[in-house]
Amino acid sequence: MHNADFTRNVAKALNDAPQRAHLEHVITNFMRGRRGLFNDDEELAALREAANAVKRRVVGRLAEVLERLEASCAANGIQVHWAETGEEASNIVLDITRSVGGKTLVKSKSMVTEEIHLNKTLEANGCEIRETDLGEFIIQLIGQTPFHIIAPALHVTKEQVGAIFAEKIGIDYTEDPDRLQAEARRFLRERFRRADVGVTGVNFAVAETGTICVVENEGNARMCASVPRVHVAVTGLEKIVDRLADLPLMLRMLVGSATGQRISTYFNMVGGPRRPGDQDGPEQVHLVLLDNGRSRMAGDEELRQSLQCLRCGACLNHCPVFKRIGGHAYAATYPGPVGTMVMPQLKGLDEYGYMALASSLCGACGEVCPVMVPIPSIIRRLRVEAHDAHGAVLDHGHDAARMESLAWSLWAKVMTSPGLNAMARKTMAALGGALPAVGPLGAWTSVRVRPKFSSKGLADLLREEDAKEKGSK
Amino acid sequence: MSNARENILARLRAARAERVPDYIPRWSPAHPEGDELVALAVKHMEATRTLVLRVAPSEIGATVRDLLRQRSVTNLLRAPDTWVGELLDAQWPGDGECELLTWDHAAPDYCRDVLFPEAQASITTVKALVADEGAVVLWPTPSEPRTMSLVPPLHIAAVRVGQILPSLAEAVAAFDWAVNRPNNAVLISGPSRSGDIENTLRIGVHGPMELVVLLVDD
Repeated sequence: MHNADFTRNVAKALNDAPQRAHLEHVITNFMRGRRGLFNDDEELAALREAANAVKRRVVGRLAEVLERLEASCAANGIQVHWAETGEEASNIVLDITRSVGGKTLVKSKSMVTEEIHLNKTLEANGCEIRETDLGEFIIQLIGQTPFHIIAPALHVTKEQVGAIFAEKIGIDYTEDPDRLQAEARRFLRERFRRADVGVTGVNFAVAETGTICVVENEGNARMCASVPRVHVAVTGLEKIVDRLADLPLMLRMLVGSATGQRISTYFNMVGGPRRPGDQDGPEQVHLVLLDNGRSRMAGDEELRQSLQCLRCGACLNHCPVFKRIGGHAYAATYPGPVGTMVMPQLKGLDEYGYMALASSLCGACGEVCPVMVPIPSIIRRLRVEAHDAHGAVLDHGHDAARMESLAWSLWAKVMTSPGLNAMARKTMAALGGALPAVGPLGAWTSVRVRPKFSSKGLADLLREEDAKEKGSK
Repeated sequence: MSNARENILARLRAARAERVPDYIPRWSPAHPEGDELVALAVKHMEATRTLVLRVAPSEIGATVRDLLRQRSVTNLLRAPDTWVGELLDAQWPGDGECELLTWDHAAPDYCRDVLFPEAQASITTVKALVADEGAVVLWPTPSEPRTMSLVPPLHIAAVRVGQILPSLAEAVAAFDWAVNRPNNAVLISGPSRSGDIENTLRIGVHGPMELVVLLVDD
């Protein structure tokens, strides 16, 4: 997508009054919930420092931590797979499914499986994969992507849910949320019971013990990890903690930042397949470790901090841009500040560079981040990378040939040379007001007051001040 | 695929940070004791819509019977070889109003064939109740498998008062969890819930519609 398409999406979202009112309401609730739990600023600051340290230790030595995780998993009977790309990861899940003669899968909510377009790959190869998180179930029926990373169907009304259930799962139309929820329960229970493979994401993988942890409220992720004969967990390779003892803190930070709950309804810790004598649980447990651009991020001291992210969604809930345009306008797997930070890094500035512009750099996302990722600095860095021929991000410098790059280098020259600076200022003071509002200036002034150029610079003003002071003595 | 592993690790080895933070001390919330600890546990569990009932061991049978009767529940899955299973069996009236189910280890697939279609309620023991989080901790076993606390619409968790610990952090240390490594453990703080239809909290989506904690005096 390009900037012009994004601008169109934004305009459309801004004019969607019902969506904006609903978003405002929901997001205010999320903010209030988080504030209610983390209501002591001093304590919160200490918790964030601690959580930041836990994740920095991991992302600063990922190779070592991953090897430890792999060995611990192997000792537990969990089979570990490595995937460099999303396509590889999806094919691994497909191969596992085929290896057990399976065709039907149930899946719990997971952003990383959205990132790799897992469902598309499986469906193209004759498998049926059913989303089971209620929100994901709804948007899968409608044929959409998640609107918010923790509230995927946030934008769908109960009337729309009623209509799609009537159409796709054959119930009589109702808009009573309790009945709709009961129908989804009835429909999906049968799927859990019959599925060959259960797919989940991962919130934390513990390197020390080889434990796969999944946070949820509904119980569908436990179903996916407990009922089918095979459990496949897919994770970005950064979602690791070193020690089991790190979990209590990280769990509190993740859940509290996401929904304001003290703890989720369920915190499931999978330590391996069923053992002799066990009456249920999967016979095979697989863990798919996905790179898909992450190891490139690890190579840069500043960008590496993006890998600390827990995917809690707090940055979305506190972003003035997200609050106004919602998740779909970004046209990206990860929307909001987290998406703005990771999409260009995962997929390249060419395709997603426009996202870096969708921020006012107000700093709210960085302030609420439970692991202290400096999201605003990273977004600013991405803006620079777009023009930097020697950058670190995929497609860095893709905008280097554009007018804007030229303008900024000219600006830098003028601002660092006193003579040029004085000349430019005098010219702008004389002629700036008369410039016609077309091109970039037109775009700028369509929503902003036209700047007035002064004939005096800071040095001139200081000289005048000095002269005045001397005169008054 | 082993190529993927080597390629990824090679890139990550090259990317190692010069300095990483030292370990931070374990985060451990407040340490209340005695009645205060129990009160905190009850407060946090009730906040997530869990019904908490405090009973003497001799009252378990009658209390559970009442709970089931009020909900028109006609069967209950319990493991006969647990402490709560033994108490229930000893106290259960033989009037046939409510049947006690036993997980049949000889059945080819009790979970899919009986648990899903038939079980209306289950009662399990717990490993602990962690007060700060407000959650029961379960380490499923062959007699109390993973799905026993998940599939039936009503789940009753039997907790001895002495099993209440201040926090998950304490539980991790107390059970030497990193060494003992259960192949499954789960924290449960309340009934299954979802906010996915118009962002309004509703109870009972995929897991139990109701969680009852029986707090049994030691």
